Amino acid sequence: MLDLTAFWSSPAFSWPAARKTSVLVSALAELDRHHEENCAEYRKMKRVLNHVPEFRAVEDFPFLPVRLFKMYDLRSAAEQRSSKTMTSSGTTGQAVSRIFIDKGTAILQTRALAHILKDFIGGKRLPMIIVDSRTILAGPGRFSARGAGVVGMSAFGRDHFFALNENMELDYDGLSAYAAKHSDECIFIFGFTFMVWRHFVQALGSRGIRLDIPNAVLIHGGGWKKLQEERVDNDTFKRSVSEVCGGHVRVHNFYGLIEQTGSIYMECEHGNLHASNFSQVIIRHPISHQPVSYRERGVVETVSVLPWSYPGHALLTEDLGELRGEDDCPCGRCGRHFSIIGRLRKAELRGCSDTYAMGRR
Amino acid sequence: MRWVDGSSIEAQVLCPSADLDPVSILAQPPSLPFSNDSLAFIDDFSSSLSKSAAARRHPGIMALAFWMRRANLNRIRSGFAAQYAEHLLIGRGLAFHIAPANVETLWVYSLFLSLLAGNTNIVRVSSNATDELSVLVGLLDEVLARHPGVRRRLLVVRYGHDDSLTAAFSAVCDLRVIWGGDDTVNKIRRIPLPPHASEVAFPGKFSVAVIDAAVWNAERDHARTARAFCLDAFTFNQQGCSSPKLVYWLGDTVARQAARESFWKAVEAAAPSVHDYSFGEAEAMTRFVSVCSAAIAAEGAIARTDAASKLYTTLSLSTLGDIVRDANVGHGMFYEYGWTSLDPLLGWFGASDQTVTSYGVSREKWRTALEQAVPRGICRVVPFGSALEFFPVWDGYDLLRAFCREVVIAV
Repeated sequence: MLDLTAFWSSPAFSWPAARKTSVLVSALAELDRHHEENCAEYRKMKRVLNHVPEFRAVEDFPFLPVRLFKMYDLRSAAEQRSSKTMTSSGTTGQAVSRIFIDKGTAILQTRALAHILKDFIGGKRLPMIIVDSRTILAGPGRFSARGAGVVGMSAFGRDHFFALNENMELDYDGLSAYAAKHSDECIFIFGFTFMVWRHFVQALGSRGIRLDIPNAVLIHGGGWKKLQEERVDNDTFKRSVSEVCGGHVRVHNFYGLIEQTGSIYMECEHGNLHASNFSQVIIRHPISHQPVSYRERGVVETVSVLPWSYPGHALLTEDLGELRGEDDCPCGRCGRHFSIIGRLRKAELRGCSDTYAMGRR
Repeated sequence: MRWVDGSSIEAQVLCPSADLDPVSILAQPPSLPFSNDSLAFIDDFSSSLSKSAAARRHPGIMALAFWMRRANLNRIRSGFAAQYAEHLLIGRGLAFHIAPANVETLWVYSLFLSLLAGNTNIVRVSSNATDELSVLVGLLDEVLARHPGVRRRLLVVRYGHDDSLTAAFSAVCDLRVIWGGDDTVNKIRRIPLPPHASEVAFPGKFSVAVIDAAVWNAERDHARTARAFCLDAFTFNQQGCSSPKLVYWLGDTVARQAARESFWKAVEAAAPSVHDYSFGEAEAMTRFVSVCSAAIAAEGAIARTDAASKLYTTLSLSTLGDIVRDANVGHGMFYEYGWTSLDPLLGWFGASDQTVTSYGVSREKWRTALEQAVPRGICRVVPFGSALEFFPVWDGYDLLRAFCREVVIAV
């Protein structure tokens, strides 16, 4: 298991570029070696990743397309009783990612998440509203990404209140009572972006209810796809949250992959997504996959030092984004900051490719 | 549209445009092959296509017009007549064709061969509304107005992914023709046919380019051959059944190495002339995933080379056994393998292999090699540039013959 002592002893957004590169390069070299030795698929793929022979920068490391986790069970550790396979929620008919997580990796994920969140909500447990249903935790068998997210975040709260019932309806009375009970405290609200919008903001708005929790902080993630379809941007989202909460509440979006749980990218007060010490973000040219410079649109590669039980430390996502800067965000956090612009379209099916069956994909 | 049992079904009739009575279509008896009215109709359609400015915009439609010109049809007809002179062949009756989504002209070949065989036809075209489709359907309708006899024997429909409609059409047909990938064929095969009906299916296929390295090294016009290869490989983004996905180098190591180098250089120079190749962000990602999949499958050595322009990626293998045919989804990814003889290739050919585009290997050599090896797959060996040309013998079927019923008279 990777020794992350240096990471735990520094605040999560504290390393300037040179320091961070040197720590990450040695951590990634060890991860690369570990996965090469313990994952046959990774070892085989390395033959065609055409990386440079010597790793000097984070950009030099081989990376895998994240889609592979929907096609293969990639693992670098033996199955244990405590290990589990996490799956993405994926809509019906879509392939889901299957991520093999052993106990050691799970502990790193939880610790890293805590370390990152501490920078935003402090180290104390806050009264917590979860914009989801308690049933999300009860799912037998598979461990869903949404459930894992809720469990992971719950560690930062106390007196947890699940705001939705099993039919995804908002418990107005319960919520009002909870808000009244904790009105003079900082309440931590957590939920997935679309759930927060549909089942919290819109549900309250449609009834004309204004909660009186101006000291709340909302952390939400999971993607903007559905909100974009409804033409809701981040500013509208934030404004609407503040309206229903009765004050200027702090709202932080986060970007993260289920394939790299734990090392999430938090949005700061200035609207930038930040790589923490645990992770790095690289924007690559959409066709050549070579790194591009600041303010250039490209495919997002995310790097994380956490994945030990599966080879997910360097992944080329299907998201498009651009780098905005490094170590220079007005919020004062070190590290690269960036924005997500959208998603890669699907490759066209042509020729004699499957036509009738296509509708199901 | 109103269906034969009086119910109304959710299929959009593209052609003929008006006055459709499905009962009248179903009531049409089969005819003898190459009836005068079907020939006259196709001839008329072919000249309408050639005259249409809208049709001229599409190379696929022009290839279709060229294929159905009178001289070619006469050749097909006399070949058929010579081969089956002593046989009595009659159309099977009602043919139901299920067309692929993205080879926009294929359904017309299937339809016209079936018409020439003497059948009445229902064609289900893809629900993708392309310009090619609307041009073809528009002209078809216009020409059919002048051919009332043929007009009663042809129905072009479009509908979404609805098994109940496929079932309704299947239930009344005498012959079902399925074009599509493996999933399509499997899915439609689950839908029953009348017991007497027959079926011809064209599932997913894999194709190979074979290059004799010494011949290539001696070739003076590299550009022309490379252009022909690009046309075969990059049209439809290398996703046609006949698009080569493996390049097999024939020759000794030294010749192969020299040939490889100059060949791919020539391909990179020639590729921009293929207008039907689009390699963008999504395709780059999909190719990257394919490259990884291919590497996971390869137990032996594998080496990747990328074109400077990113036009293609090649994966050189140390054994053909490492190829997973499905893992190559096109978009400019080529497996490569070389040997001093064709033996490893002949031994590797499997049931889903279709076309060899061959450069520098003679017809006699292929004939002998295939006769000796007797592979399970491979249905065509054609020169570079002809991979996507339509042949009336396809995937091993003489389509005209398969679309007919033979009556044996043994008195």
